Amino acid sequence: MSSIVVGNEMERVVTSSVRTLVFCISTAAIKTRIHFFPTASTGGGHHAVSCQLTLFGKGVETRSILLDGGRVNQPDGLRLEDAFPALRGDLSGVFGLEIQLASPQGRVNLMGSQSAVEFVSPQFSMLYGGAPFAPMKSEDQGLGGTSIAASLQEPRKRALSAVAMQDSFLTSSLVIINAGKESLRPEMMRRGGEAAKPLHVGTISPESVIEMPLEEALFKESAPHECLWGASYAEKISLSESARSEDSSYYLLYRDPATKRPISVCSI
Amino acid sequence: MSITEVTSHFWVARPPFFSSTLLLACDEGEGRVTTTLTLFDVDGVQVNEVEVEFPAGEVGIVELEPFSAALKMQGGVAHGHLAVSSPVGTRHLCRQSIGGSTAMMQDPIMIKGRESSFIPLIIGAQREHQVVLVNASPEAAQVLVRLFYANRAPEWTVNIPANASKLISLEQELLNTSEDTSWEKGALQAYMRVAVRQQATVSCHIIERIPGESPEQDAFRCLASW
Repeated sequence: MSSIVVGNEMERVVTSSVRTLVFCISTAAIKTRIHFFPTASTGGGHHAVSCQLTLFGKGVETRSILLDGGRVNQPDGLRLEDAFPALRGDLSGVFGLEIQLASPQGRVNLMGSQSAVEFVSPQFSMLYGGAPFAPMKSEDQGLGGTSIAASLQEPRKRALSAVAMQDSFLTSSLVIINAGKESLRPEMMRRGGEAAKPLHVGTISPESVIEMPLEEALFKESAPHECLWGASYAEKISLSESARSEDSSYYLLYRDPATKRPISVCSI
Repeated sequence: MSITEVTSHFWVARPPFFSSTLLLACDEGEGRVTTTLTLFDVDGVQVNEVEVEFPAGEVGIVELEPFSAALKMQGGVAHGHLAVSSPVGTRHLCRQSIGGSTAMMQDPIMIKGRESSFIPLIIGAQREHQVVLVNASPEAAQVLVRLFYANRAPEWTVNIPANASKLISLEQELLNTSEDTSWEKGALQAYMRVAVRQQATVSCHIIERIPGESPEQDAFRCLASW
């Protein structure tokens, strides 16, 4: 098991077990494929890696499946409905998915692992990258929000903001994933600096996902940018540092305004 | 780069077929924010450097076409490497228009040291892929590109000059150099794994084209390493 010394104390950080939270879409027309890449920057050879997927959300019973046979540095993936046959039925909506990667070799650091989610329909497909993997809680010591966990994520850490856009090519939604056992009431802001205002997103139930369209009301106070493709409205959306937790993830989903098909996703 | 700055490295391309627009969102509380854009051509030669300012708290939108006239053609596309430096806390995004398609790209994962990155893709006779490699470092990069499909995993080494970008046809310049042609039948799930030798830092994108009945009906998507 990897250990890191901080000051005079040794904290135990389990970097051989990591997790991330993504969202998937299942409708009659759109299905989801999950891709993952367990990678170890500190070597790792071709050690075995297991992958546990946990699906949750409105209308589905929270279920986990374990995939074995994976190897460090070997990409892999699957159709989500093969793992969760319930998604072949009439279920329709946005669901949460926790991806856990674990190596029995405790010295393998899987923090650099990556995941990708693909929405597939007969007419199109699109891919997005999952939020960076974070270490799992050690059995004997919680890590949520500790400085050491944060420092491990530092190379992949981005500003806690995103850009919502609305024009003739794009419309934006905020997707919030709450994988925890308690309700989530995140503190979010629109715009920034002196002009910052709260963005009310309400309460997200335990083990659920919401897609909140950012309607025109969000943009009515902003001046349009005249771009090559026509008038475009843009607003900064940000998440307070305190709202970040190990059981939540935030994404901005861009859709085609006419067909509503997903175009791009950016993690916040 | 100082610790008060964040730098992102994007691949950008010019009309008529491509168009790149930069989006900047800063965390700073007040005043104006200065961002430096440094543009390199396919050989890694710096062809432009500009500073843009926008009010803190607002989204800055920079259409890159006026700044990128000096970019050279390679692989049929005028393209290059854009380094974007802003105060720490600023989020950089790039809106890419390809043909009739639009995509919002977050700053890509930079691959360095012993790290590697992956991109899922479908290969087959009905799809074409352009692999875009950007070297974000001031030294030449030796990039290892491995493609996993079926039970095969061919690997190629690609050299990229310092700060340069390179466009490579996956089918014509890479897959056609191996004897295997099984990938041409049907549509196979594949994964591209990219790693670097030496100390260079690179990013990888893939531009996928699914030909339609006419060029206007071609479908495109831009995949980045994330």
